[in-house]
Amino acid sequence: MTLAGPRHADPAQWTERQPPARRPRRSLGSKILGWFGELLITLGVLGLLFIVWELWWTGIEAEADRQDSLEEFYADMSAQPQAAEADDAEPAGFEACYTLEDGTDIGCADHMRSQTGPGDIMGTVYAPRLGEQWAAPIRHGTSSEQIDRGGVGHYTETQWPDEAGNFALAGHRNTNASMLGNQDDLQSGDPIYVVSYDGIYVYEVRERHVVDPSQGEVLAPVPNDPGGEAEVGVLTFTTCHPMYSNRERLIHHAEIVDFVPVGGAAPEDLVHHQPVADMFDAGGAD
Amino acid sequence: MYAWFFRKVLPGPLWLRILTTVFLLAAVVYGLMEFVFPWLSDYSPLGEVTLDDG
Repeated sequence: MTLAGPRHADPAQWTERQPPARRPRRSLGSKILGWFGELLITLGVLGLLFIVWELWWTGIEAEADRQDSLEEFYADMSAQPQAAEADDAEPAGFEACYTLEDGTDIGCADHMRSQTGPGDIMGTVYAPRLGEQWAAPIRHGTSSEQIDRGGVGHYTETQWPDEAGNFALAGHRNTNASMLGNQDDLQSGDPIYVVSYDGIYVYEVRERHVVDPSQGEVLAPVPNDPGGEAEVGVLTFTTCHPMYSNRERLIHHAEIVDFVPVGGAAPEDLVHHQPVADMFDAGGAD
Repeated sequence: MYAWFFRKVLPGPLWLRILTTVFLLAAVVYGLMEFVFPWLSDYSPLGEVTLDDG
């Protein structure tokens, strides 16, 4: 019996061994296919990144802008003698611009009307239904310079809170901090407050509509009745509808029901907002 | 394409090439988020919330 040596010991077998592994050469067609595939994957990733940007990234800056704007707006309080002393003083008399059917006087919005410049905040909207801390600064205009910064924009062609007609506001539904992301939570009868250095304009939600983007009549002084003569103030919220789409617009109309002059009694569901409590009479807090 | 870039274009040992890749990716994503997408969004419908006047 002879013992066979290890295979590698036999020079005759050496030629059978392959040279050290080299990856097989790819054909040109295979290379091109590979590049094309990588290109498609890259495009897909770019598309996903764009969605991430639109739904999330835009919100970071807009939210920071919103908070800065609120602070800036209320920082003016010391420059508004009436507002700064509101806590000790009786509510000052105010100039009524028009009167509701039930006799409620609606104060003039002189200060708000003056805040129409690029960096100006006209006032702040509060809608307790949309969140305890929900507060949207209002800018004059509805282009991206205004509404992309958190908060809502005033349609410049619509009216003001101190006159009969439509005070229409636009806000984002899914992007740029999604100020009106939950607009559809609003229910009939919910209060909406517009706080400014002129006072608080108190509205109550009345109607909800879903319309085409072309149906500008929801912005008419008498909503949905272009040419009608307005007798009462209406606040209109507009945003995209449905969620993540641009096909339609979600509309809520609210009607003005009350006005609180600076220094007057703050609505109970607003007193937890410190600036409001400072500017108005916060009841038991004094 | 990416494999070729990783093997032939990037210099240095493996760990350096990985580090460079991560850095490059971060730079590209940042550039997209800050500059390219804002420009592109003018053509995206999702941000439109207003009504046509009239």
